[in-house]
Formats: sequence, C-alpha cells, structure tokens
Amino acid sequence: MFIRSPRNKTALGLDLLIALLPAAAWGVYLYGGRAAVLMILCGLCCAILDFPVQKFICRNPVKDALSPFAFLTGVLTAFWFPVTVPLWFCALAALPVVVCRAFYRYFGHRLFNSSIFAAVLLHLLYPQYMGRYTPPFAYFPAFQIELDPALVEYYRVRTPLGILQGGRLYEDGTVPQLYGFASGAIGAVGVACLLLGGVWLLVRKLLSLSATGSYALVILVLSMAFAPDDAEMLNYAWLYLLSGGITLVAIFAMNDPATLPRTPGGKLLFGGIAGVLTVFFRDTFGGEGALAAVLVVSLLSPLLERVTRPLNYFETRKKKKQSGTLADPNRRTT
Amino acid sequence: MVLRYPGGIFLPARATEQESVRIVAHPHTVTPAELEEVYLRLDGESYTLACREDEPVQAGTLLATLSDGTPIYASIPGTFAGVFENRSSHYAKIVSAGAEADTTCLQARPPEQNRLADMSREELLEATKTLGIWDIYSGDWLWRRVQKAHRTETRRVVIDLTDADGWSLTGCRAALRAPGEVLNGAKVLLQLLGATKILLIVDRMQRKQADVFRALINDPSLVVLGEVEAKFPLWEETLYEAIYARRLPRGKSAQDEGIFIVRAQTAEALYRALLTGEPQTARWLTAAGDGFGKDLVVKTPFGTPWRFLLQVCKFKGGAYVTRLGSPLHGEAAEGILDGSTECVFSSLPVKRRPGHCISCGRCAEVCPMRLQPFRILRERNYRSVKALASVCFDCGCCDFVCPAALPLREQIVKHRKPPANV
Repeated sequence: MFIRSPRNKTALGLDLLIALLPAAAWGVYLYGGRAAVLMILCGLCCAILDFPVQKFICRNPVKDALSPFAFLTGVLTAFWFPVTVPLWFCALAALPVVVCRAFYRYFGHRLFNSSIFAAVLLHLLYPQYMGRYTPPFAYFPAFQIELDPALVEYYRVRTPLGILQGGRLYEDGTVPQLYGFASGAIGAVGVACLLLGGVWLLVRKLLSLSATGSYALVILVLSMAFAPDDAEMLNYAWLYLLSGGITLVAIFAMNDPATLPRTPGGKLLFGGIAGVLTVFFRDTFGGEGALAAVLVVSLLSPLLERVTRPLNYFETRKKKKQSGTLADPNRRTT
Repeated sequence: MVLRYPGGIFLPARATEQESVRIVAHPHTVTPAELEEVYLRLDGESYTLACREDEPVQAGTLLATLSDGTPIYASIPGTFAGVFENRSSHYAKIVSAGAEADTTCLQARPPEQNRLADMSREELLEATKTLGIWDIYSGDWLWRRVQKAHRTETRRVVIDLTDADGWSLTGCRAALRAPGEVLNGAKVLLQLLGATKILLIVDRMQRKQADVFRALINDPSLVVLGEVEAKFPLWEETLYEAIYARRLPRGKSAQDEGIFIVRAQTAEALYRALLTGEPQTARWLTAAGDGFGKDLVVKTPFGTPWRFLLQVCKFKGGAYVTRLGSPLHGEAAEGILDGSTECVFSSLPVKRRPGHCISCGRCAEVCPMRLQPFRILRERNYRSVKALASVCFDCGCCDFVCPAALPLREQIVKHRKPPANV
C-alpha cells in the first residue's frame, strides 16, 4: 500500500485543538488569566496522570500512551468550570478523565464522555464550588489556589440559565447578550466562538451534522412545546438553546468519536435521545440537564449502534412472512 | 447529470500531462526456468515463413504468410522455434518467458473486408477473434466475453473513461487521444451485442473529456454521456450503483443485468483494428508514482517482461516497490505484462505503526459495500466476521482513511474463506 490519508490521529488532535481555541480565547478574554491557568493546568494534570496509567496499567507503548487527546480532554473539562473554582479542582477532574480513557482501552468502548463525566462528578461532589458564577470582566488572581469566599460571594450572579429556570425570561434579555457576554462556565459562554469551532470541525468533517443537528432541533422543538404561557414561544426556545452548556455539548460532546455511534442512524438517534433527555432533566430537576443527558445517552450508544447497523451492499431487509400462503395454494409467490 | 454512489475516497490527484513512449522492440532473454511453449496454428498447408528459427520475435511480429496472403502474427513475444506438424495441421512454435500464453492465432484481414456497416454480427465476432482484441476490463480476449454476453440480453454498452485505478488516468487519456475511435468502437460493440444504448462514463473532474464527447455526440438517443464523481473505487458494483441508483443483486454480475462494461482502450483498439485490418498486439500502459524517473504512458506489446518495462520507465529500485492495478492494493510487477492491468504504480511503501482504534467510524463511512470494517477488530461472532469478509472486495479504502493506521484490509482478508479449489 502506497498512500495513506494524511489525517492521522495527531492531525485529528490538532483539528480539535484549533476548534477549541476560539472558545478558550474568549473565556480568557472574559475571565482573565485564571481561566487560562485553569484550562492549561487541567490539561496538564490529565496528560501527566494519563501517561503512567496508559503505559503501565493498559500496557501501551510509549508512543501511544503519549496521546494529545488526554491534554485536550483536560482542556475541555475545564470548559465546564466557573472561573472561581480552586486550582486543585484540576487534579481532581483528571481522575475521572483518566479512568474513562483506561476503560476505553480495555473494553473498546468508552463508558462515558470523559470530560462530561468529570464535570458531572464535580457538580455532584462540590455543588458549592461549581455553582459560583461571576460576571464577565470580574478578574480574579490567576495563581491563588483557593479564592476568598467572601469576595466570590460579593461578585456572584445568576447565569442566564438560572434566570430562565427561575421563571423569568432573561431580563437584559436580548439575544446578542447571549453571544458571549453572559456569565457562566469558562468555555460555555462564548456561543459564537463555539460555533466558530464547530464550523471548523464541520469543514474538517469531524462534526456529524446528524447528531448535532438532531440534538439542537429536538431541543428547539421541545422547548417551544413546553414554553411557559406568558413567554413568546420562539424567543424562549432561542434563549433556552443558547443558555447553559447546550452549544458546548452539541459541538464537542455530541461529536466525541468514542461515544458517538458509528452508524448514520445511530448518530441521529443519539442526538435525538440526548435532546429529549436534556429537556427532560432541565425541566424536571433544574440545573444544566445536558450533562446528565449525555451521560445517559452515551451508555446507550453501543445499543444504538447495534440496532441501527446498516445493511451491506448485498443485504436486503427481511420481509415478514406472509400469512395465508398455505391456505391459498393458487397464490402466486414471486 | 452527475452520477453518485456512496462510499469511496478521493485519492490525491496525479499530473495529467505525461510523456508518451512507444516500445517497439526489447532485448529478450529467456532463462530455462521460465520456458513456455506456444503453438500458433497455421491454417492451410502452404505458407511462407517470414522469420528464421531461433530468432527473437515480438508480439505482432510477422511469422508467416499463408498461401492466400493472410499474414500470421505472433501473439506473444519470445523466440520462434520453427513449424511443427500435428494431425495434419501446422503450428508455429514460440518459446516465451513467463506464464501467459494463448494459442489464438492472430491474422490480419484486408481492410476492404472490414466494411463495418455491412458486417453481420457473426462476421464482426469472427473479426474480433482473429484480430486478437484484448479486453482489459475482464483480462480476457474480447470475443470470449462477447460470446458469453450473447447468452443473455445486453441492453447497454458502458464505456468506462474514468480513472478507475486511482492514479493512472489511463481511461481519460484514451478519450483525449482518440475520442472518435472510442465512440466508433462503442458503436461496433453495440452492433456486436445487439444493445440499444451506449453510455459513456466520464470523470466529473476531467472537464475536457466531457466537452470533447459532448461535441462528438450527434445522436443523443443512442449515446448518453454520464459524469461520475471522481472517487475510488469505481468498479463493477459501484459503477452499476452510480448509473442505476440501485444495487447489483448478490451473485449477479453487471453482464447478467444486461450491462456490458468495457474500458475506453478496448473500444479504441477494436475500432482501429477493424479499420486497418491489423491485429492488436500492443496497448497503452500508464506508469505513475515517485519510484519512476518520470510518469510515462507506454504503448507496450503484450507479453513484454516487466523488468524491461521498468527499465524504460527509469524505475529507481531500492526501497521503491511497484504495484499493479491500484496504489491501495494490487500485486508487485513481476513476470510479464498481462492483459488485465492498465497501470503500474511505484512509490515508497507506507510505514504504518498501528495504534488503537479511536472508533471514529471513518472506515464504515468510506466503505462502498456499506460494511463496518472496524467490527473485524473486536467482533467475536464468527458468522458475522465471515459475512463481512465475504462481501468485502478488497478496495482498501478503510486502510487508506484509518487515522490509527490499523491494517483493516489485511485483517479482513485473513478471515476470508479459501477458494474452493484449494
């Protein structure tokens, strides 16, 4: 064999990095150096912890153990942090990420999306830290391990999603606000930047339109259906879609190759079910339902892949046996 | 109208302008281990020999002239070893290197006998037979394939002008070299097979070919031009799907469905031979890749040894390897040139260090057979693996795209059933 596609794993990692960059840069612009420190530290923690696990427990050669994806997953995990989390969160977040990656090497399928799994665990373990969102341009010291709780409490605000779920529409409420100047997690606020990264992934054919599209469409439709009576339907759905981490999930978590089914139908179902679950979790339990939804749907992923296996070139769909052929001997069977 | 089919890959394009060379003679040496004897039947007992015993001959060299003036040409190159009598028939014997040999006797026909319009089907078939037209698509004599095709009804003659082998552009070049001949050859085939329509399949990216043929076609009810996506592989199954937007039934060939596919070169050779009355003894071959001093298009006599051909193409040797057919799979160029390949590639072999599957699913996306090659890695169900391996036709697309450099094709081939006669 003479030629191979130049798009090897390293190239894919580079594409992913490029897609992450705009949102990361926007996070740093809004939240200052501390955001950058969190992202890089989290990436490094994952990479450093990942190497010995891959090398000695999963018995991989050094070249395979040194994967850029561990670092990128770490950065993606830090996207879910508010800027006020203590720096030791990075080390803590690396644990579930590494466990997920090791699981994948053993069983060939990842149990959960690593970064989402880490974010959910941290949300469950430390709700007091993960819920402290501050407004943009309120810069905190970059290298201080734990911030002064009083200072954080002084700045603390509610996110657009919190306001939306509090029963009021986002007051300063215009959509442009949501394109990046809202408060929220480091990576999730820059919706326009995330979309820019998404476009890059789409150009490089790393974004599956069926998964992302069905996810967004289902959420749009369901949120319109369940909109409060006093709200204008489309406006509410628009706010619903752009608030919280739905964009981040739709672009990165929905296209994580390890959890995305590899069949066209599976991708469609994956996005659709995740959308339904997101709306269900958000409206039933409050908070960002997208995270839990992705966890559940990634558990279903192998099943979806099996159910939607495409027919190969020569296969035909089995026809159901027609009843009554015995009773009617003159019936012509073709 | 652009014909599309699912799966397949876009291979990196090669230069379209290549120097063409014509091999007229080659120094032929025969080692005892490679000896093969070929007998050419000399119909009629009186003949005049045109060459001496132990004289090296090329494919197409005049061996003898029969008493009625019919010249007899050598069908393969080798050494002329005299005339033998067996059961009151005379045979010319050629000792040749390599395994490919055929006892068909090539005879030139006087051009005035070849008034195409007046020839019946049987006469055309006979002419195709005696003129030794070689069908590259099936790797067999054309008359044999036509004879088989007569058993079923043929509706369409499909002339494949595409770059079926990925890098070679052989079909495209044939179209530019002699578009009229290709079209007329197609019409002869139409007459020969009793088909109703000619379909010219052109690569969508090669605009020139499409324009040339569009200007030539004056009867749109008879000849239809179809542009196809420039993807690899465009083989029988995928070509059928591209044209008819439905799949070929299992166990059936395109011929069974009434589609007769030939490469452009065959149509060109057929018409040219019928026109001039001279048998086809050579055909065009493309040599492409970094392993050659330059990319070449070579008019090569049948049966030329590869080692000579590689010399002509300035093959660099060393770490470079050659492959026949396509850069993704195919066999090394050894022995003598046979009729089923139009191109030889040479390049450094790709170094692969297989990593772990990242389950990106690209192999399933590009598979023209809608298989899921990644299943070969972890599948424990014996039957489904066998089913996968039996449908796979070895194009190597999954190998090409795999970002983890996994040897998927190799794995699938390993699971294939051995052929029945082994």
